[in-house]
Amino acid sequence: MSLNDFLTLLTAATIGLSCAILGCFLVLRKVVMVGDAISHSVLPGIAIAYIVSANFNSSLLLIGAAIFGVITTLIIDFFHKKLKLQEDASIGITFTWLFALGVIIITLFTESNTDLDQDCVLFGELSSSFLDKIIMNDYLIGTRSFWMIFPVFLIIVIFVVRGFKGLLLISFNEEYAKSKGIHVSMWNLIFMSLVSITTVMSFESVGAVLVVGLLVIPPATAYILSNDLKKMIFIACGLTLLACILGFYFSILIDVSMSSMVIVTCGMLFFSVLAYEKLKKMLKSKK
Amino acid sequence: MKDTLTYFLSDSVALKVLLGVIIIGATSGIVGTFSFLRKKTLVGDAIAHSLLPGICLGFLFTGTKDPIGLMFGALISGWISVWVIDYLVSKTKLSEDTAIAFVSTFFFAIGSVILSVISKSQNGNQSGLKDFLFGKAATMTNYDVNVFAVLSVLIIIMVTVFYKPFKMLAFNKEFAHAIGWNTKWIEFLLSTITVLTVAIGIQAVGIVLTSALLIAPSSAARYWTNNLVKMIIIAAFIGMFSGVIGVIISASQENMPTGPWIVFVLFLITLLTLLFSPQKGWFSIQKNQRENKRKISEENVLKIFYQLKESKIDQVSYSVFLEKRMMDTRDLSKTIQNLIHKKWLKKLNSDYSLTENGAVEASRVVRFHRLWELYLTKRMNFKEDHIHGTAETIEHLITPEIEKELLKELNFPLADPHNKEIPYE
Amino acid sequence: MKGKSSIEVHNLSVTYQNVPVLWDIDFSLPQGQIIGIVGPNGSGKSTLLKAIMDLVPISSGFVKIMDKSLGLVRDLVAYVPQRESVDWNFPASVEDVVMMGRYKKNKLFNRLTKIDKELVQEAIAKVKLEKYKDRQIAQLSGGQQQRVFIARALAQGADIYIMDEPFVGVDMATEKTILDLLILMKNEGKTIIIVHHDIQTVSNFFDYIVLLNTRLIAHGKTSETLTGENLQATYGGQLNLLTKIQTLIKAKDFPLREEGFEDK
Ligand SMILES: Nc1ncnc2c1ncn2[C@@H]1O[C@H](COP(=O)(O)OP(=O)(O)O)[C@@H](O)[C@H]1O
Ligand SMILES: [Mg+2]
Repeated sequence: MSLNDFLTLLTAATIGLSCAILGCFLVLRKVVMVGDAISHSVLPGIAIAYIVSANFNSSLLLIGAAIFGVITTLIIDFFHKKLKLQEDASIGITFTWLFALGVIIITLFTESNTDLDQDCVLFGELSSSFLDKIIMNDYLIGTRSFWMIFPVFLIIVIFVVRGFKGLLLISFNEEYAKSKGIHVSMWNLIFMSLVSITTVMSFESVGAVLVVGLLVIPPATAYILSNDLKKMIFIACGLTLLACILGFYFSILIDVSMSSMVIVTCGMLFFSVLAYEKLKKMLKSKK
Repeated sequence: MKDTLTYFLSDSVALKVLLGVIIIGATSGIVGTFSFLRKKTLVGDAIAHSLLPGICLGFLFTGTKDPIGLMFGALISGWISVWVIDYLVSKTKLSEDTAIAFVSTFFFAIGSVILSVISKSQNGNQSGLKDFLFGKAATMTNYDVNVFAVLSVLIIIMVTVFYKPFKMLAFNKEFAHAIGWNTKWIEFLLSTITVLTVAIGIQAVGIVLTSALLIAPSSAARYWTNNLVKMIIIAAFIGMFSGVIGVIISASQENMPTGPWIVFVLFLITLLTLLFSPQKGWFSIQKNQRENKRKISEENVLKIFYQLKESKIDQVSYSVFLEKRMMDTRDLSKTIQNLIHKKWLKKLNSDYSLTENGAVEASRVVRFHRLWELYLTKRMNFKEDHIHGTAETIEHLITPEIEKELLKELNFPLADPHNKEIPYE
Repeated sequence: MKGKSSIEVHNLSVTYQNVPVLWDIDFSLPQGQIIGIVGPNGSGKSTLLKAIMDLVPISSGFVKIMDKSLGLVRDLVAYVPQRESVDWNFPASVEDVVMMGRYKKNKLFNRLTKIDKELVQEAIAKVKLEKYKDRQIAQLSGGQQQRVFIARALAQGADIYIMDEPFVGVDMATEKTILDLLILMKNEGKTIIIVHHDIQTVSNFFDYIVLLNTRLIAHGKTSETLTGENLQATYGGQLNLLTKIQTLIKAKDFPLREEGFEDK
């Protein structure tokens, strides 16, 4: 494995693991579509961040972009609770509008800024992430993409480890959590902010649509396989790592974009697991 | 603006584009209404993403960008995606939102893999395929528009013919099933229509934004009417209108994307509707609540004048009144102004008193209050010291019809639970 | 402690989208007894519990628990929601769920102690689920799932237990286990408040009942309160006029209580 391969895989794995951990709670809380909406709605924030900062190195600006994700949940709530529009429509209207806004902003400024084009919005470019190396005192300390996502990954791990009880309570039964005096909406806000920051930080590498795949497919697979929340998280992480490695080699093999190939691999793993479970059941019932 | 209009009317290509978005907008509005009522608009989003592999395969097999071949591929992958979502929801423990997100990203990823294979093997010829990602309203050809027109006529005929079963499915699926309808079949038909609609929708606004064409027109239409036929028609109009405005905006400047602008207009229309629609809109609800409050304040003041009259005080000054009943002073002076304006109160020097009409109004309010208190104690087992609270509100709400029933049920009582006289006219 | 009330509800009204589902409910409940909140389906029983636990917005009135507001005595009150309120496919074992009973608002970030773990085992033993403690909750019968919920409440070590329909969809064995347990808890001085809709079993289960159907019908000792007349009022269907008023309130968007007025 070459150094570039390693750097690419490292970035992919860090993004994938961040998504897998958060995704487990999205799946259990049945708010995957809100996560989906957030990943699309951060586009205007990203567009503005890219335009404002001439060189795109300012991660701070991108954290600002993540505010659009939080705003998304507020707008969805506004439509659903205040204006009494049904939930699916509230979600759909909000994210399509913000995404459209993002595309409009990008095309308006497209001449002055060629790094952010429409393709990248949808697919991202994992396999070119190694191009942007950070070198300090002659030592290679990783790629920019990696250093954007890595702190987020650490925060997620700390949040989930320390806040595990709270997350467990609100995921299992929000009402019971409230009856214990837990501030459910605050937990929710923090959680959705993390989802939002993660999608922003992995945007360049995997794009708005495919990041949802990382958020939902490995956790869904792990959900089918496991009876225990901690195990579910670990299985989701394991599946993600496997999919990254396999996807990486597949993408080289047939010479296609790596980010799409990772998602396709995730999906194939899901169906393998589903088939395996069905088979197991069939064998059991025969006995 | 005028220039743009004349441009559109004189230029046949531009006219075609307009015609195209009108067809697409109307069809999506009509079909979206059913998705909306079944609360399945996000399935539309998944379908849109899932069309990508079908379209790419259609292209691979036919070798051209002929919309018929692509449409056929789209139809097949759309069907599969709907089926997979159904399967995951009914046969595994995954919930619907997970299944939808799963299918849309998985299919989309497959599509983009095929897309990059195509772009490697067939140099440049595929450029048109990428148009599906963000839509290509501005570059629709005559042939495209003709195909859309035929499909949309087909869709509208289907909706008309199967209107009743679709309606049944949207409002009462269990019932339809119970009376022996083959709901599976109806659902299949509706899914097919939805897939076709999405397939022409993505040509205008692209894969990611197509769900807006299904969701926004019907959401807005829902706030204008309670009638399904009207809702469908309104949704169709909103769809067409947004399409036209979106095209005009994007044509007015160079390098403006059409799809996002259409979605932007759709969003604005929906937001404005939700805020301002005359019956269910947010502002009309607020206004209604304000009016209720005003009515309550007025009737309360009248009631106090009546009670004062009962204790033989005909005229009171503002300050004496305030002693009798605590009220926000600004609220009180405004209410008194209103009542004087309605000629229910009159002012003599610094004292206020009821007019003749005002006295009638006041006795009505007091009658309702006491009747309701009596009803609460007699029929609802309320203790006498707890009835005042709700009666305070209900007295403002009782209609003549309910009054009649109350009187009948209580047998024209003369006194309330506190032994106060119930005034009749 | 006898004589003091466990829960006081004052003039409580709750509306959902402007439709009143609880009207001016007013009662206080004794301590150390098994209390039934009885009424037909849709009569607002669950809503009453949720209002007591501060889970739904109250449009008027207030609730006191042991003479204090809920925030001050939260750990003393254990809430057992309806069994259908959760997705039992959730990846958790019996032990995991019962452990949630030991989670406290202010100690959410602390580790659980040995005592916590012992209390959890004790609670599991009390509902006779030792054999199943490592099972995933989806693989339990309805009755066993109900017992898991009760064990979770027991683990909390509260004084007042508020349970929503614990006898729905449970087998005879579970019913007996739960009843025995309730009596044991009562003898330890605990107060148990149970939402129940089946009138057949009311007199066997409860010392004290609250009859509810949108409005409060009656409350008191079971023997005195369970009269034919009261039952007729509770189960005899909604009052025609009341329904009409409810519709009117919704249609006109009226506030259930007006603001800004106060009688002198
Ligand atoms: N979240 C809600 N939104 C709107 N209406 C509700 C909600 N929850 C309950 N209701 C309505 O309130 C009434 C009382 O419900 P509930 O308290 O669950 O009754 P019970 O527990 O006695 O069966 C029912 O008519 C129900 O339809
Ligand atoms: Mg209930």
